[in-house]
Amino acid sequence: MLPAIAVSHLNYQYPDAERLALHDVSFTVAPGEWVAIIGHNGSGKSTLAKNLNGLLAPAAGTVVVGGLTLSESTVWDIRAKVGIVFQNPDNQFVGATVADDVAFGLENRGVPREEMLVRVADALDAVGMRDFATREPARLSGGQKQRVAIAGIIAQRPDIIILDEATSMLDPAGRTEIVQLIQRLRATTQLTVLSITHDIDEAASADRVILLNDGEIRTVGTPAEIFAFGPELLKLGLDVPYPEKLKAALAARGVAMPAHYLDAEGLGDYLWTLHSTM
Amino acid sequence: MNKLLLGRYLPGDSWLHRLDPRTKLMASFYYIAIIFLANNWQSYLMMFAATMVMIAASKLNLGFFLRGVRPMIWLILFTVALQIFFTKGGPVYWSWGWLAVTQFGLTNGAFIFLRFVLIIFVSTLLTLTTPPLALADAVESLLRPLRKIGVPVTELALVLQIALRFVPTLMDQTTKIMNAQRARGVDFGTGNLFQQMKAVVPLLIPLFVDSFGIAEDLATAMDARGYQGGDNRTKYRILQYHPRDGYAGLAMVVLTVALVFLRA
Repeated sequence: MLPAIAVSHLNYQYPDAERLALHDVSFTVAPGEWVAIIGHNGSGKSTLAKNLNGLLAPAAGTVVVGGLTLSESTVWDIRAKVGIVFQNPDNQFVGATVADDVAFGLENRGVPREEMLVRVADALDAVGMRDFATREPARLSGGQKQRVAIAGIIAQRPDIIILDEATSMLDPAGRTEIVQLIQRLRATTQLTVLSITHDIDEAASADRVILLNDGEIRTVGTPAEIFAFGPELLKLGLDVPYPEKLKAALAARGVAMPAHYLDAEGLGDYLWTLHSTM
Repeated sequence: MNKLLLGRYLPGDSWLHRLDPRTKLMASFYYIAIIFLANNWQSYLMMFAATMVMIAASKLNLGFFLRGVRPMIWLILFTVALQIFFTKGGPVYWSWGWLAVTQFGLTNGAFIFLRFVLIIFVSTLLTLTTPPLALADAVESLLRPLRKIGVPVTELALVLQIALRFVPTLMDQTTKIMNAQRARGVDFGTGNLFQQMKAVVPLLIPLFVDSFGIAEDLATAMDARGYQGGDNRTKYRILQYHPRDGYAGLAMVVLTVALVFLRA
């Protein structure tokens, strides 16, 4: 099967910068997969996202999205396939109302109005914001604004959605809201998700994690494999989720621990049944 | 702060609220123009009555309209005073040196006063019953013919729409910066004029820098969502005329005819 995204030997350098922001980055993402890209601030995560849909032009290497090689002539087709949710909920809200904002991408592509009405309503249903269609952005919470941004993207029916630190400016409730929404969307559609984050809990929901350090890929693995690095992640400016730290500490003391990732509740369940004889 | 001219829309479901914004915009301009045709008591009385009928049709409290007059009151009184003291003609009621209050002066003063108040009432009525966004749409729709001579009407309309959209965002930002600067000891709103102006500088500079950041983020987001400008975009929000817009136009015609008959 054709990969959703195939990046090979990608280099990128910001104008006037001395160092490469991305150096020899290669990876592929399968259709329907959820891949998290983690790394400390300035590790090149967001630069990578912007290279994937031509917001920045790669200095070397190729980016292939759904069989199309990124170039000046394909950039608008690729942008139709790749939607990005950015970090700041306010600064990506173009429309004066929720429905207008969802329609913005459709207007840009010249979708006829009758079809727009249907697609906007469907997209708002999918993110649970139908009742807010005529609201103004000033009256929404950060989490709701990000849901609208996601609706604006799924209305365009892309193959890939990139979350570029989309939860980093939200409160914990808003963060959970967005992660759950993405999980729900993936259950019902064939959406490929690329989440760029330094929120390790968000990364834990992914199928695969790419660890980026100073513009280079450090490791690729399942969340559990990545978290097993433990203290080394701390050195790279990342934190391991609390249940993973506890797991590592218990394993060091000879307690049998499962290899897959457990959240706090899951670990609690595992622990209290560990010596149960019932 | 949200008393500024943009936040004045009062949601409602009256006949006037439901009129097409283009109708309201054109009718308001037309109405203001024909107010200048009135030149005697009968015609002013009729215009006053017509304005009151429109205000009643909006189902809004008269207080909102009177508040609209308040910021202009000194300008109005000054103009009225000029009319009273400098219009000569008819019986003289009072005089002092070259100043004189005459009958013509008094009537003219009263007319000018009425004219001001009616114009303010009608423009207030427009902004109170029409959301700013609908007004922006109306402007775009009415100016569309100018596209033929190369005026980028669609782009200007988008600029206007985004400007309206970011008013609350920038207001929030202003409050945040003010609080941050207060925490650092800046004193807003006290001292003499010069000190107050100096206090505004640490507010304006961060706000200015911020708005450039916002603009850049927004441009990136619009780019990512496929915005290429031009006339190939379709529109989600459309305006549609209804029979009531025809009635409103008819009312303007009737009013004009009546005015022509009544004026001296």
